[in-house]
Amino acid sequence: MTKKTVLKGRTKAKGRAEGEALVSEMPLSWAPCSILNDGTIKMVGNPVSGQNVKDKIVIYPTVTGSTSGAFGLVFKVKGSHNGPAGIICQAVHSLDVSGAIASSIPAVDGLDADPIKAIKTGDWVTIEADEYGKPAVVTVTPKQ
Amino acid sequence: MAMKLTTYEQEMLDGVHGEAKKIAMEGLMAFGEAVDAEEMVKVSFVHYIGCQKGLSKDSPEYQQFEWGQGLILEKFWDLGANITTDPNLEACVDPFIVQMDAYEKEGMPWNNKYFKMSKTVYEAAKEGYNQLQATGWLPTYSCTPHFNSAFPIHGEYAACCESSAACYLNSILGVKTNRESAVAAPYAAITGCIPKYGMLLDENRRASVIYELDDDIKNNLLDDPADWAALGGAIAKRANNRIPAILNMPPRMRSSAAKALLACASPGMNDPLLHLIGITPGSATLEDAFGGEVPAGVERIHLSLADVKAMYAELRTAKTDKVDIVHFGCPLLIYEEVHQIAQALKGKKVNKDVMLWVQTDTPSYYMAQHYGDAQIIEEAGGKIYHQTCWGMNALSVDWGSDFTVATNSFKQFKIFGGLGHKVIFGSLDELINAAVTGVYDSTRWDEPLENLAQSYNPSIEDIEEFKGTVDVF
Repeated sequence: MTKKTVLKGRTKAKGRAEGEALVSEMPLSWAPCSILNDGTIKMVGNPVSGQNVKDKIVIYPTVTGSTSGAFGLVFKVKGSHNGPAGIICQAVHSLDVSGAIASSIPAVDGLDADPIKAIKTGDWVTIEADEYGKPAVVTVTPKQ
Repeated sequence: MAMKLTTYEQEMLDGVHGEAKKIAMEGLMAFGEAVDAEEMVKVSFVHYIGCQKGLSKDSPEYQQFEWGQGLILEKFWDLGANITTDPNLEACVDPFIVQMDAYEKEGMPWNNKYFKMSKTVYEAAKEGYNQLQATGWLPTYSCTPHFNSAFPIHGEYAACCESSAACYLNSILGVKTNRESAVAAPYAAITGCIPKYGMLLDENRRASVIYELDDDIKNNLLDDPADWAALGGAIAKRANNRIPAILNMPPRMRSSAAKALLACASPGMNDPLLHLIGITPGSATLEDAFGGEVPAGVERIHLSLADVKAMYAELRTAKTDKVDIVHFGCPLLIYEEVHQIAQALKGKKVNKDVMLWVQTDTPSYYMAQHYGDAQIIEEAGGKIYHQTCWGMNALSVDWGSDFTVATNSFKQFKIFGGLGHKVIFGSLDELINAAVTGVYDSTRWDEPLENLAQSYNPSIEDIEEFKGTVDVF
């Protein structure tokens, strides 16, 4: 049986979600110029460029780039339905906090392990982030 | 922790002042709770973005030209709501996708060999422009409204979504703003307030890394925004989301130079503030920037002219020197820059295979019309326009990847560089030459980088004392 890892972190936007992990070692932007409305990442110099975020739990260090990432995240989740299921960062920037809240998806940071290293692309990840000020629980099931 | 609200803020939240203000306050309260804000502050300046109105949600155009900004606003439009009537607040908007009175004109970012905007999209853009104006927004359609249209004052708070403007507000004007969330900013426009968090708190505005610029930088940077954009890029790429204090700045610089320098904030840094020691309000000394004694272990990054020059080579994805579009105006040009370009272009002819785009704000556009600069640019075969930014269309519709854009903007390279086309970074003279010949020729730095590095300063990585671990967090 595959060993699951349970990580504790901070709730930055409330919610529960699960999905396949997509890990970007470089910062990401949810702006429409960086992740298109169809969910394709288009960021110069980022190795995950070309991959799609739809329904994924997206893991990245923090935000970079345009403030339009806030509504860009909302549109991808609620407008084009090509958005992520949840986000996990080393530090969720306020741009993505507001975007995640308005998208009704969870955002978590401050995990007791570096999420960029502890989670691999393709792992199955669940997020339970119910209350601010209480630990968020992230469960990682490694890819078979 | 519950936020402490004023009576009026509480009334807005309770719905006393209407449904729109209630919804906006609820949004701000949820955001404020998540970012641990204790109270709201009144804002004097809000900056958001232009948007379409009326595209059918099941149309392909909606999926292209709506990015979420209209989605945030439409519930307020449905309620017939305007922005706040607070007379001390100006709410302005970024460029959108078209110059309203020039839809048919050829060779423009919305009508060219790579992309032609449909009439449906144009009409929706026009509707969006009209709707924003009708609901109280100042129709700046500029990422540089603080130069010509809306003027927040030292000490005031702002909610500025435009990152380059936010950095200019913080670093030059002494206005406090975050790179504001583009979800929260419209709420701020409707209520007149924003949670006090991030850069609105003095303790978060302190420097955490020192940059020491060589004399060679201030002695060699030209009166050309490209050089300053390259310096900004050299700073931003080493910042790792720390707030820099910059030593040995030139004693004077043009506002266009400061604009180009500080535009590094968006793609390079998340906290839009550079303490330019001796220039930034409140940062006359290094100690001011650090809010007291400078911590002993703070990293000192040494920048030489070679580091600035290196950015010219680094900001390039093109494999060949053939150029298809020469672009000036990221951030939007102010008049002095348009004039500089017109003078450089005077008497020359743009190559028939090149589109030269001079992108400016509305006041500068009409100054250029009035004083003859626009005629010089158009007679040479270039195009000058306002109210829009070419990248707004390029991010909406796939233009293909078989073309190269020459730019003098670090920001542009970073934010649009992943769309597929190739990019070359160049100086004013290099870009004008590329527009005329169709080919980029590197002339800004005649002396090879290696020579500069040996005769002046080795690059930072080669100096033992400047070696240090650079932590991302």
